[in-house]
Amino acid sequence: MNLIEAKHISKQFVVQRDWLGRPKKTLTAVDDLSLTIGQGETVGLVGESGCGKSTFARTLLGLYAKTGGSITYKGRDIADRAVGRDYRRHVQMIFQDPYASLDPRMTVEDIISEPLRNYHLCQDDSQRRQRVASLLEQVDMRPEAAQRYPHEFSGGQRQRIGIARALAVDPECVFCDEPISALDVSVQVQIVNMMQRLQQERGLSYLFIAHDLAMVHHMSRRMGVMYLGRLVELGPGDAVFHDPLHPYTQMLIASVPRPDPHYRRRTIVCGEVPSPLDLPKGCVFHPRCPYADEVCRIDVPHFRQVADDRFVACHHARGGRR
Amino acid sequence: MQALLDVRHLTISFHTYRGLLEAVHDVSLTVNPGETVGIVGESGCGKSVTSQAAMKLLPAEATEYTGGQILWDGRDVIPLSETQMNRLRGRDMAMIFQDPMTSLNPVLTIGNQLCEGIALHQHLGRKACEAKALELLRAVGLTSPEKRLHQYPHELSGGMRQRCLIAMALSCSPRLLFADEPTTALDVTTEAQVLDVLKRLQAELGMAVVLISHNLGVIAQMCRRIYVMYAGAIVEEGTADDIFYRPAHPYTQGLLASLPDPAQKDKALTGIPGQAPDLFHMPEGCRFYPRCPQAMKACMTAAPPREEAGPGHHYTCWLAQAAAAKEALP
Repeated sequence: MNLIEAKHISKQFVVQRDWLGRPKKTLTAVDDLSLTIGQGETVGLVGESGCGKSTFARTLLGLYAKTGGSITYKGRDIADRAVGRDYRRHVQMIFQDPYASLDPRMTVEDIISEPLRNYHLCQDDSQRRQRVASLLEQVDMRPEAAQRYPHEFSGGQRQRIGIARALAVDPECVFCDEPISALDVSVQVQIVNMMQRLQQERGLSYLFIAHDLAMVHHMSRRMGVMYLGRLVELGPGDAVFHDPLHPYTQMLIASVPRPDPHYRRRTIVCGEVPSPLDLPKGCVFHPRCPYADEVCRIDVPHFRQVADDRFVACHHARGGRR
Repeated sequence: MQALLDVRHLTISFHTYRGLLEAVHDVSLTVNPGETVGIVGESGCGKSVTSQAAMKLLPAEATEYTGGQILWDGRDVIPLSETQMNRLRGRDMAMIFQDPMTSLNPVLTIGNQLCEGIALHQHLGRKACEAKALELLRAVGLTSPEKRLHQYPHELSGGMRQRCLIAMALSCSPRLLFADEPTTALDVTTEAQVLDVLKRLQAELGMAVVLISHNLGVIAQMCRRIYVMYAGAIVEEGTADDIFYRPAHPYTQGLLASLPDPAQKDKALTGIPGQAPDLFHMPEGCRFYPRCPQAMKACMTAAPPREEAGPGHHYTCWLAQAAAAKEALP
């Protein structure tokens, strides 16, 4: 049984209202997205900025109220209050910006022990202090750090504090929204390696969101690609990275600058992401797609299975190589 | 051949509340006409300061050029006055900044901003300026350039803005273009397109480009010669092949080992332990030794010598001498 199952999630934001306060113009940030996260699994989610990957994570977590779809946790719908409470405790989040996601007026101890307090997980102060010290140790920080304030730490260390806070309530799944993109390359590796170690020690599941394709591929067993609020491809990480089926995935992977002076890109990269307020008809990718034809301009492609564990939303994609 | 830009032993300090801060230490680099040179390093390593110093864009009242020379065409620019510099800037050297959102003026149209530089340096009339601006926008691959001339920056996407900035920098056909993290704020598919534009224009105009980036992939794709900076100093320089296939300095090796290799998914990344030093508390000796996996006693006490690993391939490290000493033992 999957830990989390998201079925047909959609999220719309009202951009403009008429004089009676009724929605006049809406923006669909996430459209009919289904995704499962298994126990101990890392699912990667990539896409360019504005494609809805963060909105999806926040909607899945309940930080935004979803417009449609359902979420089940261990097979039970989280609309049920008791299940929802359980779900919110066992699914935690790490945020992108280690400078904005920690309250500058709280000490590290306050920050990490806040979730412990909220869930009444400690009997007294000494026990709580012990918990904080052990959490800090797990993220490779010294226990003395507990008495200091976030501004005294570097970006990488702050991200460690954020991770310690997320782990405080013993979650089963952690949503990581661009956890490393604000960090320097050499520090990114430290965080990623630590996250992998914690995953093994605690049997955690991750939803790993980033725009760095190579890093997402490195981290995740399964990988999804989003474009304009839709999931366009989903499959095993290696398959998606080395044999992408959707033309957008192909373009995205070709765009990644490789650290190899002799690498030459072969796929054509062209066009810009259209405004989500004025989406193209049919397949949303067709204005940039080199394979687009009449069908793509009219019909919206369904997200369908093309091979074992491989899904793609394209009229022309087939299982295996094009 | 005389180098276009020749920075020799440049040291720059800033006046801060905590005293004098040395941001760049003994940096030497040369840029020849028409070549693309990369400066790569992590945040705070001094790569932007070096390039801004070359154009003398650093705030004069806070900056102290403690040592060294910046030779532009053989002439030192450090003693030059602001008026003299203004004649060089734009016409001889230009810069593209990282953030396309903040480096354009929000209350002027793109056409206005483009024409300003052209009129200033080339003394053309309004009509001629506009024609030139249109031609530039076409050259950087902007769609419907006529429309863009009359649009304001907020009406354009990040990629379009960066193209406008490139057009602006190229408006007076500079001989040297500094591109300071030109694609960092852009998405990968846009980044690829902007880099393509830069590469094409560089070949067409025969200008030299100094590309500053923290992204090793971008550097590998664009540059022939590369300088690697760490904590305000250059630790390694060489051709792209030298740096990516035969890195000699442990820091360069560590940087490359930090990048996931898509072909070997399950291989653990080694990376570099620790973090970059605080510029106020620079370690004695080698700046990298607290994080270096191969640190020795010598590294802690004295600054490492500049060693040659091959023709044009230099690095500053004690390792070579240690290896030589080991061989010399009976």
